[in-house]
Amino acid sequence: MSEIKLLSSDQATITVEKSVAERSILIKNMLEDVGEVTEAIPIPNVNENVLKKVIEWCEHHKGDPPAQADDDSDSRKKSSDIDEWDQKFMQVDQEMLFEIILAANYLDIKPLLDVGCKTVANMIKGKSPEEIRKTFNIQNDFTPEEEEQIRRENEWAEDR
Amino acid sequence: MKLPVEIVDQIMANLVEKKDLAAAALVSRACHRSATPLLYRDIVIEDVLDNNDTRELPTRGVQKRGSLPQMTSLISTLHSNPFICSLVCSIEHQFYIAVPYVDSLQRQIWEMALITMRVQLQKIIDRNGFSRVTQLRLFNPDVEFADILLKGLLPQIEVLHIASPYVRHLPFNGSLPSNIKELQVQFLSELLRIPGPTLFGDVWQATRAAYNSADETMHSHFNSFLSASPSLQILRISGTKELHAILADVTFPSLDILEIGPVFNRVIDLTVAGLSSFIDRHPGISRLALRNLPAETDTVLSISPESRSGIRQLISCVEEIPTDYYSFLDQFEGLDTFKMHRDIVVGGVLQDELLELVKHLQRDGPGIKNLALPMPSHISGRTLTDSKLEMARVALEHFGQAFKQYLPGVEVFGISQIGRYNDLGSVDWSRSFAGHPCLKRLAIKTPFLPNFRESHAVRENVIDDLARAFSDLPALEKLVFYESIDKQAIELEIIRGETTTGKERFVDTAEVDAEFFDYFFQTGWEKS
Repeated sequence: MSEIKLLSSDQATITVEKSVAERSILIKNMLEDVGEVTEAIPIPNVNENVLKKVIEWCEHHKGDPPAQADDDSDSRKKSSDIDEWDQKFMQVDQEMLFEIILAANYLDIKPLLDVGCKTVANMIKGKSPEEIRKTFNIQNDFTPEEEEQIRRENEWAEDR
Repeated sequence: MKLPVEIVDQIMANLVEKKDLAAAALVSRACHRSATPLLYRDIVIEDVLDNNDTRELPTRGVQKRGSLPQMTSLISTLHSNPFICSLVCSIEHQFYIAVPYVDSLQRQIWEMALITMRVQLQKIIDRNGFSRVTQLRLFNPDVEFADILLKGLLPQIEVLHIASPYVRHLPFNGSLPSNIKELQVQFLSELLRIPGPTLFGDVWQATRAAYNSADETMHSHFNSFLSASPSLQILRISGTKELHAILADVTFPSLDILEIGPVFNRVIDLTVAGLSSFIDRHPGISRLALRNLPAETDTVLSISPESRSGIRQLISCVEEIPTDYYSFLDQFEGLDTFKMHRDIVVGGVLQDELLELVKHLQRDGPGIKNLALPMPSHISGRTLTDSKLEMARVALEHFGQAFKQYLPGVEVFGISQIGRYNDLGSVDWSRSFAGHPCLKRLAIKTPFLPNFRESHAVRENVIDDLARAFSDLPALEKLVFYESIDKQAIELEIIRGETTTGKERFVDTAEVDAEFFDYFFQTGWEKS
């Protein structure tokens, strides 16, 4: 079983099984391009804590069948459909959740990105705009007129 | 959220409910940018009011309905904001008001609102406002809405579903070019909509006469419309007595799926000869779904050699199995999917018929991989006495033997049955199917599951026992118990190891239906 090294943005070296690291399409392609590597592969956008967390996910999911080809029609399927282990895995503070999502995006690990996005979507469901702003600490940058116009335009959807 | 736009988009894409998207759109400009296209991508313009209005009585499983104020507000937004209007990709419209239950004041309000909406809709069409719309679904539409939308959008529509008694009032006469790829038409009976108690009185008789005399025109119009739709790939028709006239001389070079649903008198009037000639003209058909066909006639349905291997999926709904059914079945040489549904509860399929059916499903080569069958009535009898229970056990065992012998390649199998699963224990089922080499997924659909409401703790041991009982099927991964009355299902995953255990989880019955059974099994396609 071959291993490779990853170098996080804060210069920590993490050793990981090659097949686990290859859950990341970015790393997989990189390894295919350069062949054998002995030096640590720099992952400049991801710090040690987050990288460890991402590797934990990849280790748990290393046996998963390869991701299905993109199917947009299915992308709006119920987001409550998150694996139990993944739900627990995603029980982290919001900062970490967003970091994981960004790392999954950068490293091109689609299933992890999906789980992350579904988790955030579940946090939005059933909330009012004000509650969503509070939850994610978002600034309301509408003018009162704009806000009123949007509210009026989308009034039909409020109870559906 | 400090996230890039494409990630915000992906998060929003997981919001299914319109109210969540509407809330998200009000959070900030960035959220608004991501949520609005999703909020308006597929719009539903509807109001439904009838004597059992579901808004008054929350019935389980019934979806929320639209209402007049919502409908008015949506159309007004589309009318006044061209940008929002340009985001719309599909339109669904349903407007069904059962007249007898509406007082005159209410009626006036409805009519006024409708007039305004029709004008606004026409203005949107006139400014080419729905330029991205490619899908249109009209269920019992307001006829004028339907007319405006069809005349305005037909050339750009790729998917058209329509269920209406007023098909003949609509511009289906071939005068407009059509690029429709998927067409689903339900000719609904106009007679059902006549108000008042005199269902079989003079008014009814007169209307029926008028309706029948207009049939011919409607069908020739519709035939011209079909002739002007050369891109058709999927064709679903139900509710007309005149299929042979409509389909007589049309040819669609790309037709892949043909589905013929229920008609007034329940048995399809497309003559056997008419159907075989239609299939012969369309050797590209890979999926054929038929209700009550072929009826027993002197002519046996014969299919040309080209079509015999092309049809991979045969979906068949029957009340009972006609004697010439087996020779009909034998002709489909290339089947990998066969799904049969029994429409009526009483009577139906007999054990011998089922065994005969299994024999006739045997194929050279890979053979059938996906199978759905109704269980014979006496296996599933409602309250079995001990002696009868033994009969059922033996019958199931015989079925299991035939299943293994003739259909060893089946990987996915759905069984629907009328009686209680409890009448036959899981041991009977597992013993009968034991040793089937390929079966990966099995679903048993039954009206009522006795242990369904027990707590998880009570069920836990049962689940492991079940998993062990079914572990004699070497390829079996998952087992689904589907309770059809309350529309709930559990999936049991068999985890093989030193000691086999089971893991259960609730699954969406719509997914179970889609995987094991077939949407065609439902009586019609109309939105319910």
